[in-house]
Amino acid sequence: MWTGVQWTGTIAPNTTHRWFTWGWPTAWHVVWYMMPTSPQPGAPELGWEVAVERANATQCTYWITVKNPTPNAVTFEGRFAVLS
Amino acid sequence: MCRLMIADGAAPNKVWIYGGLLVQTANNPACHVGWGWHVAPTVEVATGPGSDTYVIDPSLFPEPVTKTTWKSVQGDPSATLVDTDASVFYRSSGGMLSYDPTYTQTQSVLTTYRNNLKLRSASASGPPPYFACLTKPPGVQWFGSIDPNATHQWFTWGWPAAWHVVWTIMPSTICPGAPQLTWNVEVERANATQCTYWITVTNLTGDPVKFEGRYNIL
Repeated sequence: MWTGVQWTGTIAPNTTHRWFTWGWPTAWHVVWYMMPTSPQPGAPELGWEVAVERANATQCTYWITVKNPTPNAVTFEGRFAVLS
Repeated sequence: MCRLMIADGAAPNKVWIYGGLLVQTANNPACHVGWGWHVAPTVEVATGPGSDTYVIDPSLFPEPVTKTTWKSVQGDPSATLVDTDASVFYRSSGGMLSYDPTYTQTQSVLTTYRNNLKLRSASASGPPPYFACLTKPPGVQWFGSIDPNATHQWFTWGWPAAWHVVWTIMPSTICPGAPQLTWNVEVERANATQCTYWITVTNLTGDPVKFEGRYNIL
């Protein structure tokens, strides 16, 4: 397994925003998760959902929807792990 | 394909193959297709001192291959190969040539086969690939199919609760341009040592989608 940061983002208060990242080998088993970089202790800062598109025989595009339920902007890392 | 490649600045040719061709494929419900002839674009690829000819044929390979490799998967070792330039629309096995400079016949043929594929995809067979033709790779728990704009739940039981397992979904049906599938995972503790995973998949598109239900044990 190996991990990485695909992008860094900022999401406005109480908003939902979608990012996409393309050209990922479909043979890879990839999981996505977010990590806030702006501390706001006391409540959840981010939630996310992942959708996937088969772009061609060997590649796919991941669409990651991130939700900021807080009243403040949140900066974060969009992280991935390739499991196999 | 040649038209697109030329528009992109390439200088392709074509290679034709004639014989009793039989190709194994997961894109046909019978798991194979039979052809009397077949054709694909070729390109010359610089290799330092010279160049090699590669065939670009997405119906058979996800990457460029040599003509030898291309021939090798078409089920007839005695099949014959003939090269022409890209302007030839059709070459009979006897060598008669026809041309389609406005791509009118090309478009007509593509429309016919595209419509045939749409009809088959909308039939009980569904869209390709066809699971009966596939071997389940490691880390794939099941092959699934989901109707347009539908949500469906699968479950898989008997997993050791001590294992840390994550679930992902990968469409097998190619449909570029927008997200196709999303999913969420729930879990049930069935007994002291085992659990059942419930995976709910949503098809975000207006077409049926086939997919792999994948797992990884961390």
